[in-house]
Amino acid sequence: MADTQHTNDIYSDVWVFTEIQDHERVLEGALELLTKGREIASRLNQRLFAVVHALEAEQYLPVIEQYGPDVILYCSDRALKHYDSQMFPDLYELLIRERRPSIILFPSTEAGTDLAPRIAQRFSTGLTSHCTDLTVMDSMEHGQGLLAMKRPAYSGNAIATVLCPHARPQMATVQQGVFDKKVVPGHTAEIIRLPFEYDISKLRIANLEAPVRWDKPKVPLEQAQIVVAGGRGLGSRRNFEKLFELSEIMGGEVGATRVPVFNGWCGEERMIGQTGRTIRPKLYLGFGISGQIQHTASIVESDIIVSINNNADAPITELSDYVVTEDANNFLCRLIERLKKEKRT
Amino acid sequence: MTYGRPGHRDSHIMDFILSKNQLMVQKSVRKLATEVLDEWAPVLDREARPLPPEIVAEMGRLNIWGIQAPQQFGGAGLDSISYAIAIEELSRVSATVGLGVTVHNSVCLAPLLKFGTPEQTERFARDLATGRKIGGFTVTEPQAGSDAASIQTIAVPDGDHYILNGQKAFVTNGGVGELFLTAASLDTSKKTAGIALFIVEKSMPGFEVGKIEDLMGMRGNMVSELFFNNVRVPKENMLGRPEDGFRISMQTLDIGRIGIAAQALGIGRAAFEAAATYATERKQFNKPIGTFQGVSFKLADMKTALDAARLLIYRAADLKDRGLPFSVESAMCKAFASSTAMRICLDALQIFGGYGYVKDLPVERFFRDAKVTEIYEGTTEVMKIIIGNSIIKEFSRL
Amino acid sequence: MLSIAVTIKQVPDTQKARFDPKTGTIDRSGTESIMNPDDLHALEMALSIKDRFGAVITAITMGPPHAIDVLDEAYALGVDSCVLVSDPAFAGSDSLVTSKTLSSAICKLGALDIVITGCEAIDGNTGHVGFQLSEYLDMPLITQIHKFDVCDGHAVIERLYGHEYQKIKVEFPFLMAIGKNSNRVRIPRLADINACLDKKIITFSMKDLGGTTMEYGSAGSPTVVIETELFSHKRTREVFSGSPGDKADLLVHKLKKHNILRY
Repeated sequence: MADTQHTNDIYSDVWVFTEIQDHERVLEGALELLTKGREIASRLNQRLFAVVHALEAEQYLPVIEQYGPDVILYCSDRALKHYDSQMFPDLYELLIRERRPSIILFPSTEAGTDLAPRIAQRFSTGLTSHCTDLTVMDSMEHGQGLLAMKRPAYSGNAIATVLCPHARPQMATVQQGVFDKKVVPGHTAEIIRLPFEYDISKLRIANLEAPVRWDKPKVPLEQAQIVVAGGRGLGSRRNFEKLFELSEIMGGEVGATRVPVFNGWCGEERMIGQTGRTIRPKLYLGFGISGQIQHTASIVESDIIVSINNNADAPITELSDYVVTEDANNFLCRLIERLKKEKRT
Repeated sequence: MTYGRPGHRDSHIMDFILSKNQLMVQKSVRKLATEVLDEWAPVLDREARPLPPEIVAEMGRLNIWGIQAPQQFGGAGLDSISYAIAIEELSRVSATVGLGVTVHNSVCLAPLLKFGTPEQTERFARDLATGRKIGGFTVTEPQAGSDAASIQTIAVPDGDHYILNGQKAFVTNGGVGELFLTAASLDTSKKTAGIALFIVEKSMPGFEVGKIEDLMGMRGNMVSELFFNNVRVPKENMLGRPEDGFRISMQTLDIGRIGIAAQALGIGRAAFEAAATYATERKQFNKPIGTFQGVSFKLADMKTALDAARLLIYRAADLKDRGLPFSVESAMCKAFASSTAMRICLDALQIFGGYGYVKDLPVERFFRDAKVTEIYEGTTEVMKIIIGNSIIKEFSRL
Repeated sequence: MLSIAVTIKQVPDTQKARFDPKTGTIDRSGTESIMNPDDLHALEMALSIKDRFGAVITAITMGPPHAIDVLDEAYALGVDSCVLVSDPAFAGSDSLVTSKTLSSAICKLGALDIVITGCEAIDGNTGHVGFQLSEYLDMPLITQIHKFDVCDGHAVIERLYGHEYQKIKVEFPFLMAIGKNSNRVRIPRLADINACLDKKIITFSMKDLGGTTMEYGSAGSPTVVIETELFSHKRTREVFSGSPGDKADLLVHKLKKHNILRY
């Protein structure tokens, strides 16, 4: 374990852990971080590095280059096909000791959230996770040119601004979608290939069987993270059933108010309301639901509520984060189409 | 009427705050009630069926069937206030489960432990405390309710047995119980002095469970008739001496009434919480109905009465644990808590309006469940007789 | 007989808490302290291993003196011994120093087969401690566990790893991080609640762990919080405008921003 660094040592440059997703493409979140990293690096008058460890990493370099890194450090080997909790921290530790970046940004993926704290421990430095904003700050008390990291605390009830004044590197993980990505037209990067040298017999976890692709199983309504619900405004069973298509695409569950249940458009187990189930998903979409208390009392703890109703004054709009004043059926079809298009690209 | 500890000079702080232990008990039983029992409550009511065996067993693991029984018998060995807390938390979610538990604990297991011989406790306590067997207590007969001394079930000595013949009515846990403390008369002419209590097991030949009642409320409890047809009960199964039966029964009911009061408190609290929540959400004339004084005053009365009932219950429980007389306090808390529960349920139903009348919502069930708390283990009228008699005795200068 | 340590934390109930709007911090007088929910699941994991294979479980918490409340809860659930790691010097620790302090304390517990932690605390929400303990203790960390078994002196675990469902072999000792969806926490038995307050709690102070005040607490923490602002939960009631197609586009965009739609 290293001693605590002091800013007297020269730590410079902004690095982005440029993760490759499913051995197929560069992670969107990594591209977003490159854009943000570009902004920070320019502000500090330092360089932006994209760091890539992957199988056949060469194929991703042209895309990465478009997002403005000054340098791309890449390593390519079949042993790098999957993220590994021992290997990646070891490889990164060596690189960081050698090149001394001031800032490292990681996407909040499974790999990023494993790698970042381990690196932080090895360098006795600070890590701020799930950042919602990153800026460069000059602080009277703590120093110049510091990375100011905003992140949620107290289960999302507060936002804290964090600095890492002395220890290096300053590290942050960021959730995908927080920043926008932006191509830098005509940009070229210096590309450096790193040799892969690692004794893979050191690895301590052995797979006993060939791993199996796993898609999460269906969950009951109360545990669903996404609920798409329908009410009287959908008009008919045939229309109501389109909700199943939407929920399939979004990876959620279908719920209903009293009306669809009583009309036999769906089973009682889907009823959400005072006499049915109470839900607290991340996302609730209400199609053709006016928002009577019997239903809405059971959805108020949803993180995000979107209501789609052709009545702009429907009671449900008072509890909504996003209000779509449209015919529920029409919008349902549109949304399905739009999402299908999203999946295809 | 003495309170406190006469002759002691240590400073007693009267503590109105629950101890850490009691808070942990509350939390644990509340977790059981809300996570396990909540989904069963409407089912038990609608289908008039008891809890499934797996849940009875889980409750046994948690010591719910032996809340105050010593740990050596598989119980939790808790104090009486913890007991009241547990029954309240259970009853708030399912009054019928609260009933089954409190009858088993306080009028079957408790008298066994208090009045039984070491051999009797050795034989029976563990099965009851772990919930392997459910117990009940039976005195009431078709012709003998409040007038308990007029029971007609008789016990005739025969060698080292007694032969019991008779019929019992409205036996809580009748349909599921395996052990019943049964009051029978050795000599009906002697009235109370002739009554003895027997430990009767379901397995004894001649014992029969009769009709399971179709009740207004508490429908998850298999309240039934019991028939005794020449049931041979060993002499070792008599609880106490032959002349003790009535006295033990009355003391048993003193203990039991604390549990019934806690049960009523739980029901009342459930109705109050439902009404208060509804009153803040339901809007009429552009305002939540809870802001109208007609409604908020009702809620204010409910909250006050619930707190008063709770304090009366804890007072009776505390006196019991100190070994002081508590019959009157027990009668008071039972009378007050049960009539409070009934009044709250009526008012809650009114606050819910039409939705209160619908079986989809639990309010009407609370109402149906609450009523019987004013009746069993001694009607409110009998409670007032007990309290009235004690007042006369206290204030009489003769 | 396996030897297991479970790290638990007392936290304010942030999901029900009241906040001081000026400082953005929790109004402690109005807020209940509870055991961190993920840590309850970690304890349940340890207890179910004990039920199945036999184990001795030590619950360990780092916090101020009143953190013994969570240790009492742990005793009521069925652990065998409890340790409080507490010292005024530990106040203000960030996740790194917390991990370091905890790992020093864990090393004093003697040989362990498994260390179990919760994934994330509801006050700090960093989720770092599992990974950093893994580094300090030099033990592999296993997460998203579906099935756990012991055979022939090692563990066989089925777990989710990214998009894969894996069956892996792991040698003792190792770490597990447990989250809310892993299991259902058992209800404490009333008899265990009755007994828990009589049980002994061992305390480790800074003196027991060694080192100086510069290495612990806020002095030893590389990060510093310079500001906390309350996050308003009011519904935004943003009305979309444009054609239905525009609104659909906007909705999809918003959902991506909220990290609900993945790419």
